Amino acid sequence: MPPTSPGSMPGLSIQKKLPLLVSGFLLLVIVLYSVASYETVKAASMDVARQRLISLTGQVAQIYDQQIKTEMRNTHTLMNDSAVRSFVTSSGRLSKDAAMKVLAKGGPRPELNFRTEILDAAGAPVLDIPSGPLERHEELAGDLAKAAVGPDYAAVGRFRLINDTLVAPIVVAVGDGTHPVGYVVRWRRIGNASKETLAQLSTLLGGNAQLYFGNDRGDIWTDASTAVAKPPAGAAAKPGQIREYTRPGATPVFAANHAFVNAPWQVLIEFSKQAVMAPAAAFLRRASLIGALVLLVGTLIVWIVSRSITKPLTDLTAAASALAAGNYSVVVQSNRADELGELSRAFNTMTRRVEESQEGLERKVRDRTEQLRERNEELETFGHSISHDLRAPLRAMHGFSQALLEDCGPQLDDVGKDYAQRVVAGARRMDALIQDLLAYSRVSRSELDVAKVNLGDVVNDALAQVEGDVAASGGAVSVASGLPTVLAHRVALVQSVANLLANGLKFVPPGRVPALKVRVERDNGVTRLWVEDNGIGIDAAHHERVFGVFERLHQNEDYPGTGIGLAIVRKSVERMGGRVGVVSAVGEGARFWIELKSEEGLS
Amino acid sequence: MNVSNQPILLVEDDENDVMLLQRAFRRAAIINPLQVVRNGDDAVAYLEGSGVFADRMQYPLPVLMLLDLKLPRRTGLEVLQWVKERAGVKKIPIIVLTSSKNDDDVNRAYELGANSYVVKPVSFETLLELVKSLELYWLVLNERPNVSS
Repeated sequence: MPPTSPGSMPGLSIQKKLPLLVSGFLLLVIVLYSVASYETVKAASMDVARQRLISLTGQVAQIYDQQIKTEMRNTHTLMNDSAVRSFVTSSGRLSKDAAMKVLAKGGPRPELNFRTEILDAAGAPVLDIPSGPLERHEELAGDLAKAAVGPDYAAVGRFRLINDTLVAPIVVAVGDGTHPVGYVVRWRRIGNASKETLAQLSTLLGGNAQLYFGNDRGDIWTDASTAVAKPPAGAAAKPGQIREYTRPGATPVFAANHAFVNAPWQVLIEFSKQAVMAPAAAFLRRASLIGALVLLVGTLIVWIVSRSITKPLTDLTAAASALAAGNYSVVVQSNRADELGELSRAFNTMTRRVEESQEGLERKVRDRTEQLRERNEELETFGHSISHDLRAPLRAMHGFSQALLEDCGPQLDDVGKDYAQRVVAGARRMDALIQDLLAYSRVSRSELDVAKVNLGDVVNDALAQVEGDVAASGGAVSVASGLPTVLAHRVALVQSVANLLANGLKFVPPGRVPALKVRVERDNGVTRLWVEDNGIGIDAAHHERVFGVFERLHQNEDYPGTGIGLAIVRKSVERMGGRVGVVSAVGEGARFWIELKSEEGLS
Repeated sequence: MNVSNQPILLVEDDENDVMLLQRAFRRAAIINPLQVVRNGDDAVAYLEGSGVFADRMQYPLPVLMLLDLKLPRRTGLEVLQWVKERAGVKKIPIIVLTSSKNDDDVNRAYELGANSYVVKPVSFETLLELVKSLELYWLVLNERPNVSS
C-alpha cells in the first residue's frame, strides 16, 4: 500500500479531489457567511423590534395618560356641583333629586358609563345611578385618598370585573380644598374603545402587533374590547426591556409594557416573533439560494478546470500502461502549450527512445543468440569431427598393431612386440579420452530436463554399468533400501552415479578389497545421495580440484583414467540444479555426495 | 538361392577400416563375399546395377548392407534414403556402421529406415566380436526378405 500524506484522500483521483476540495471550501465560506449575515440581520431585526416596542408602549401610555387626565378633569368639573355637595353635606336629606340629575349627566361618550355613585367623606356609598345594591368599596380607599389631594382632586382606579363587565373607577373629590365632603365615583366601561381610537392605534402599531391593557398588579387584562387572560409569567417588565414568550395555543411573541402615570394601569404590546424575524428568514432563504447557485457554478467551473488538467494525465497514464504492456505505437495527443503539453511531448519522445533501445536490445539479443547457436553448432561439428575423424586413425593404429602382433608375431622379437603393444595401449587410452571428452561436452551442451526419478532405480542402473568393475575388483557395493524419489535427468544421473561407483572401486590401495556404501540423507526439500568408499582418500587440499576436467592426482600407471569422470558428474548434477561434493582425508576413504531436490519440489 | 553366395555390401571410404573389416570377416570365417564400394554414388550404382556394376552375376544384390555415414559425394544418409525409397532393394537390411555417435545421426538414420546402428569400435577385438554378432544375427537367426532388382 502506498504511503499517503496526512489529510490526503486515498483512492481518489485528482479530477475528483480538486472539485471536492474547492466545493468543500466554497460550501464552508457560504455557510459561514450566511450564518454570520443571518445572525446580524436577526440581531438588527430584534433591535428594531425592541426599539419600536418600547417607543410604542411609551406613546400609547402617553396618549392614554392624556385622555385619563382629561377624563378626570371633565368628571371633576361635571360632578362638583352644588346639588351634589348639598346632598352629601346634608346626609342625603337635601337635593337628592338634583344630585340624581347631576349623576345622570353623561359627559363624553355616555354609553361608557356603567354606574355613578356618591360616597360620603368616609367613603361609604350613599347614592348611585342606575341604582343597585350599595356596596362598600374598601379597595377604593387609595383612590379616594389620591382624589382628596390635588392637583386634579380626582383619581383613576384599577380595573374590575363587575358582572362580567370590565370597568374602572374615576374618583373625584366633592368640595374644595383638602377636605372633601364626599366623593363621586363614576365606573366606566373599559375596552369599548372608539373606532377613531382603534384606527389611531392600528396606524400606530401596524400589523402583527397586539395591544393589551392591564392593572399595575397585572391581575386583570384587556385587549381594549374584552377581558383577556394574563400574559405568561414574567410579563411584568422593567422599562427598556423586551421579553419573549408564547401564549397557550399561539405563536411566540416579543413583548414590552409601559406603566401609566395617571392610573394604576399598564400597556402591553406584543409583536409576533415570526413577523419580526421575517426579514431575517427571507434573507436566509435568499442567501441559501444564492449560496447553492454559487456552489453549483463554482463546482462546475472547478470540475471543468480539473478535467482540463487531469485529462492529459489520464491520457498519459493510459499511454504508460500501454507502453508497459509492450505497445510502442502509442502516442499521446496534446496541443497544449503549457507544462502538461510539454510532459506529453516528453513522454512521446521517451516512448520513441524506449522503442528504439528495445529494438536495439532485441536485435542484439537476436544477434547474440544467433552467434551462440553458430558457436554451438561449431562445437557440435567439432565434437563430431573428433568422434569420427580422430577415431578413424586410432582404429587403424589399434587394429594394425593388433594385426601386426597376431599375423606377424613370429617375425617380431620381444622388443618389437613390446612396441606394438605400446601402440595398442596408447590408442586405447586416447580412445577413452576422446569418449569422455565427448561425454563431457554432451552434458555441457544438451538440455537436462528434470523429472521424478527414483534413486533406487538409478543406483541399480549404475550398478549394472559397473558390473564388470565390481567383479574385477572382487569388492562389494551395499545399497540402503527404500531410496527416495528426486528431481533429476535420469540418464545423466545414472552416468554420474556409475562414475562415482567406478571411482570408489578403482581408488583402493593395493591389496584392499573395495567396499562401497550407498545411502541417502533427506533434509528440507533436498536429498543427498552418498557414495562412500574405503579407498585411499583425498587430501582436503584437492577436494575442489578433483571435479575439474583433466584433473588427476595419480599417475596413470597407478590408477589409470582420463580425469574427466568427476567433471562429468559435477557438470551433469549442476545442469539439473543440484550440487556435488566430497568429504575425505588421506587414508580414510572418500565420501562423495550428490544433492538434488526432493520430489515435492516439482509442482 | 544359396545365402552364402550372396555378398555383403560394405560402403566405406576409409581404406584402413576396409582392411580391418576384411580381416575381421576372415577371422570370423564368414563365407559371404564382402563387396566394397568407396562412396555413396557407387553404392547407388551397385544397387541399381548401372555402370561398372551392370553385371549381376559379378555384382549380385547384397543380402546385407554395412553403410558408413561419412562418405564422399552422396552421404550415407542420402544413400539410406535412396535405398528405402527404391522398390526391390528397399527390403535389404541396412546396418549403419559409423564412427559418429551423434544423436541427430542416430535418430535420422532410424527415421530413414536403418535396421540397426552400430558405432565402429576402436579395439580390434571388439570389432571382431561385432562382426561375429552381425553374422549370427542378420545372416543366421534373422529371416530375410526376398530381394530382386
